[in-house]
Amino acid sequence: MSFREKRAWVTIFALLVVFLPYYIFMVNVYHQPNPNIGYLMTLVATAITVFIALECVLLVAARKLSPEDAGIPLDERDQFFAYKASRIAYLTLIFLVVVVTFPMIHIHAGNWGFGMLYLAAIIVAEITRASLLIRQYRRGY
Amino acid sequence: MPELPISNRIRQLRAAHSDITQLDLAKQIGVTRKTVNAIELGKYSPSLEVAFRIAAVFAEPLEKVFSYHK
Repeated sequence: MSFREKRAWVTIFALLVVFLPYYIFMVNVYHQPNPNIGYLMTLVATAITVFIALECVLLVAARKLSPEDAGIPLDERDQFFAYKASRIAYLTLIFLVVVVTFPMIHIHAGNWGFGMLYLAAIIVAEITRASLLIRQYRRGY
Repeated sequence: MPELPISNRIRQLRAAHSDITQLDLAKQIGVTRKTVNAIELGKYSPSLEVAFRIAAVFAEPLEKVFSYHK
């Protein structure tokens, strides 16, 4: 497996490992009577910090596992794959933002609800991008 | 896999040029070995620039390396 494919796996793994438990825990906290927004803000900041740290550590490990191709700059095929994956991930993000926004307005969701659903849309779009990269590297085109 | 309209003779040309490896060719044209492999297998059509670089490595005209089928 190439470094770039490992890198995509790292992104998916780190996002799922950090944000899946975060969302489960956050929803429980949020649905308690009078949720403390300061505490929720700390939670989301912690989740993002842990995600960045975990991704950095795993990327260093991936780089050590694939030293021969980790330092090679992106060539035109890599850029083409990245472009295709980003294009579909962008469309996914726009679709999710639209799909999320109107029901949230309808149910009078608060700022926190909007923020968390937009963050979830970004996470899903990023997972989509990384998954498409893996698929393209696996298929070779 | 979709059928690409461009085929190539890179494998034969590598063999004819003292068995130059995919990695050597990749280094000479500035792409990764996997990209050379994908081009050789007809899974990926290179840019015009890379196609010209490949032809230059083998000192052949472009049309002797790549051919287009409708």
